[in-house]
Amino acid sequence: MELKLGCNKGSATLETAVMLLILIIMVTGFMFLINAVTVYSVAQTAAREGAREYAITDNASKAARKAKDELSIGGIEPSSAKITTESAGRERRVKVTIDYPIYIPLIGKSDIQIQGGAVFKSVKEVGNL
Amino acid sequence: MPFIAVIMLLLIAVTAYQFGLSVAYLSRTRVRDALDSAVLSAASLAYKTSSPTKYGERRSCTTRYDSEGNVVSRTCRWVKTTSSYKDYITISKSEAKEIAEEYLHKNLRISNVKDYNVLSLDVRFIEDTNLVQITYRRPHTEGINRTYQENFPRWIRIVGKARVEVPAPLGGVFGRDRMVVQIESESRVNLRNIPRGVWN
Repeated sequence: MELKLGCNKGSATLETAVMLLILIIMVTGFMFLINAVTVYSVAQTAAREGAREYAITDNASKAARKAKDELSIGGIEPSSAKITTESAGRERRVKVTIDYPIYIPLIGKSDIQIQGGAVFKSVKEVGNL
Repeated sequence: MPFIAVIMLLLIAVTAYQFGLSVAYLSRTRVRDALDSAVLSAASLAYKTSSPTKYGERRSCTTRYDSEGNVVSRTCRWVKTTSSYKDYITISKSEAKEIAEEYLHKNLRISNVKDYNVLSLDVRFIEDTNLVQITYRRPHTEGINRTYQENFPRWIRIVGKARVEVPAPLGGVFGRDRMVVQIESESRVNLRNIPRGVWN
């Protein structure tokens, strides 16, 4: 077998293949990143609107319902999110946690937890003005 | 080959730029939400109260009788009276400012805004102008007999303006690793059943 030193034949194809692979990983990762930002934005809005509802009505189930409505509007299945409501004194807090799956070729699939939260002071008394 | 390398570099640059923009937008959203919560929380301190619009006086007499029912003595004096109470909204401005600041920080923390710095938080209160004629007639007890106008606000608007410094990821490329977010938010509380046309 004759070995040809300095022959570049095929190296361009190999480099293109490697670059394309990196390109695909980057594009996919970027797509998931942008989607994660959208999901975070929806989670934050849902938490804020839920907390606002909780502060105004002082009703935890209404707050959770409001947060679920906001998730639906944002295109997220409400059952995939965990909504927690807390109250301490006149403080009303709502947290929305979403397990967001990320898949990057060659690296694999993993879940990241996206959480939005908001805290309001109860305005129940003000609502009765 | 160079073509793909250039495309790669461009893609990396665009991706980094998009990432920076996304995070900046998120930071702005977080500050906006935090300020919104802060202003509404401050509004929660508003409460309804009432005050008289007529101050007067009346004569009050006390008669004492003996065991047989005969009048022993009769003393009369002027007693201050108030009537025609009218509702209005009021708020403790200093407390409301404290609550706004407290809830701005709480919401920034709950939203995981890292390494932030609140540069300024300006909270203003705008009250409805609803002047009511007050009749103050107490010539015998206080020697005052006059009428004047007093404000009985039906709504209060709370306007919050915040300037918050937050980190700007990849902002170092453009020479700034921190950015200042300036947001304004307002909230209003009002009495129920107020007539139309008072939302100035």
